[in-house]
Amino acid sequence: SGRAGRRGIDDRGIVIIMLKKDLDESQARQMLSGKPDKLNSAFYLSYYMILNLMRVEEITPEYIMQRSLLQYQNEQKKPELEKQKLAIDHKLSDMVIENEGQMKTFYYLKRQIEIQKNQIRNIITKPIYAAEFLNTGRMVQVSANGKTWGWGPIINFAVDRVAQTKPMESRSPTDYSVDVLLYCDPVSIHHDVPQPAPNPQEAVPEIVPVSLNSIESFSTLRIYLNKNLKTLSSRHEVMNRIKETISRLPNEKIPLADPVSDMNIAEELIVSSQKELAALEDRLNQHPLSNSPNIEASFAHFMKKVELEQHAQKLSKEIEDCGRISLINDLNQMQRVLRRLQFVSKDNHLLTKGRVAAEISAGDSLVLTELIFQAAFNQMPPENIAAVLSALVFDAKPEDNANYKFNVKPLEEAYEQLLKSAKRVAEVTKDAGVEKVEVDTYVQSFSPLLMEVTHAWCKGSPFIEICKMTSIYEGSIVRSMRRLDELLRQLCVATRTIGDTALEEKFAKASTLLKRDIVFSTSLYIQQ
Amino acid sequence: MQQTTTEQLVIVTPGETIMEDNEGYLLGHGTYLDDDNRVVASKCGIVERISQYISVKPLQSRYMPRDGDVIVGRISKLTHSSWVVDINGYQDAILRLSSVNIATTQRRKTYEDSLNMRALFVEDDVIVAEIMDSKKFVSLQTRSARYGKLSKGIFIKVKPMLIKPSHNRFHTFSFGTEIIIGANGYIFIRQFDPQRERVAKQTNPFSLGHTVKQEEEEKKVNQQPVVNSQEHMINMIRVRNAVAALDKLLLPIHPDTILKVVEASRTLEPKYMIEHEHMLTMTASIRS
Repeated sequence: SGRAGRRGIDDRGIVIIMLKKDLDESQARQMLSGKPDKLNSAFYLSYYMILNLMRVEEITPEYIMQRSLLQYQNEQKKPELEKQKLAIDHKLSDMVIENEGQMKTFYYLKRQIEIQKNQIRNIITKPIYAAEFLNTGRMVQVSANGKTWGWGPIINFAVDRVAQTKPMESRSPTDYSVDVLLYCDPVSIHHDVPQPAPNPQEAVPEIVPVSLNSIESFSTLRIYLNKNLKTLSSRHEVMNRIKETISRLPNEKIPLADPVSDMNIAEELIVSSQKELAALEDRLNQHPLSNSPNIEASFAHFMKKVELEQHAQKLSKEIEDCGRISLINDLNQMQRVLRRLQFVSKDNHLLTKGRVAAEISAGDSLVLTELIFQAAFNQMPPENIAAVLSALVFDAKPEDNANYKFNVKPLEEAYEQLLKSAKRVAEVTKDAGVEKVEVDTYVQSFSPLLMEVTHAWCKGSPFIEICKMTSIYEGSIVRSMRRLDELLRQLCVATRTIGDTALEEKFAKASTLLKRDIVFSTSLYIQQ
Repeated sequence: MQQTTTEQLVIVTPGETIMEDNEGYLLGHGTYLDDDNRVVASKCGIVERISQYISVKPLQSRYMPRDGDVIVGRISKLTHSSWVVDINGYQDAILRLSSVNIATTQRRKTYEDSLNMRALFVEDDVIVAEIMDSKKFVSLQTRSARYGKLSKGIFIKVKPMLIKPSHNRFHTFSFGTEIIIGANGYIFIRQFDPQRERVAKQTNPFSLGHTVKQEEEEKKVNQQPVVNSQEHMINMIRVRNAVAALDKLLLPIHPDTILKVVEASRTLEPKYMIEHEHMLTMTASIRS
């Protein structure tokens, strides 16, 4: 509802809420007597702020960061996290595991086996090897997302449409969807995601689509399938046939397709993984605990303890992070970037480039300073300068920029130079360790869509003409031009620090050309 | 001095051509364009090149003001709402009445305050202040409790280029002398007063206080037995003469270099420190 009552005058305000008919009681209760929205700090570091803080002699950026709301809110989280950790620590000390030492080695072996199996799986499910084995009726062992389904016959498979255009080598297992007849939990088949059957007596055979990388192993065994599997009875028939076939096999074990001899996989990794796996399984079988009676239950108990320990470790790390200054890593990375671009000296004093960048906040200060020092603007007429700068103030979605065609050659060249500068800045930023920066997305965030529009405006075109040049909303055009004017003002001040009066005059001229008529009129109703 | 790593120092005199053609270059301070589009130096100094930006850094010039610098200045005159301060620059700076704290409080200045300006600073007073804004004209502020009037000390003027950028301009030596090295080349030397420092830390919410190194030295000072004021005076004079020696020999002026010179001078009487041969011996370790 916003604020009710006049500030400083009324001590009470009246709010009248119009309720919809279908308002939930709990929602209404929340509206009338619930807690206010949580105010979370949106504090972030910008190069402009860092440079200006480094410029002042008495303080450092860390000083300001320590006194920000973000830091305060992080510190408030600390007691709660410490309480949680204490509770977990108590639970852990109460948990007693028999033969803990042996359990640990048992767990280690199991984990290593898991790793090797996954390595093997990653190789055998590569489409170049697996595609040949996706035959109807072939038995496969399925496990996905921690759930084991066991063995079932392949019914059908399909390849993702986009992947069909790619050659075999560049397809990935997730491009393939395989239909497998598996025993499911009868309750789950009516929900979105079927689950494996906990109780084999009540299990229902259903066709389950799984992705290729859910297949753990292929078998050399192929089962004859009924033509029509739409009825439950036909599916039961197939499953019974499978059971019979298995019972006639030696040791009742389904024969596995060997990756090397059957699937013709020549990768070295497969051979070494198989050897590793065999050795590990041997050791597991010889392990003293492997034959003990309650091994399943006590192992499950042990796993619980492991999970709790991992949770406790995560909490410790979070508590430690609370104690440090939040965003301190970002600050160090950004200062590293500034040093590498020579905006700042090794002992964190501003150099000439830094002093120029410290004046610019309306656009990307790093890219702009680089452009200034490359004398990119010196030979350009003012209207071209305004056009290029529009790329720095206009927020467009990167997709829209993709295939823009320039009609004015000098503008295209200027834009190319801007992109080159942006690329360099992005590369230095990435090298300094800032992971979230992607060079391509960064470069594409500078949009050329308003360049020719701004150029035409500065040359005197009426507003209605420039609106026809582009499909961008009029409001966005006006907003961008106003931001552009502010940027030009800041650039005038910035160039004053380096003393190039010709360039300063150019920026001032560009601002005069820009500031006219409807875009900069303070009111649309009164002429001033 | 900033220079690209592969280039050598190029020294120019006024009128010397730096570049034959100005195309593609940014002309900075100390350069100009002549009728044939040549880039010519207008000052005597070292050519500085950053990408396409060319400027001449003069070896001897007045102070060039920058935002955020802490400087020492001298009041030259009063106006109805501000003080005009000499800061060794090409222009005098302005210290507005609204930019000072009266008795450590920050409040709106009334008409009475503007009548009482002389109670704060008068002509020829030495003050330490921070540059707030140097775009149109230089304006200062003394909002920290560490800034304000400086008294009971020695004032000395050196060449601004010998003073390196630093984060802390207030430095106390272990023998109890405090030195304030203004970025503009004006330096003030006085006796360190722990009481004053404590008050400054308490009353100024924005003050960082001294750096850790200085706090250790402060402890040393506080633990020393009370020395008589003549010894203070002699120490202050030694520091002053050390600074004068460094200035004369164009060496960097920094607490470390000053300390070296003072330590090297302990065998000498202060008044002999400013004789040329002694200057050379004292600064030998720095010059090497």
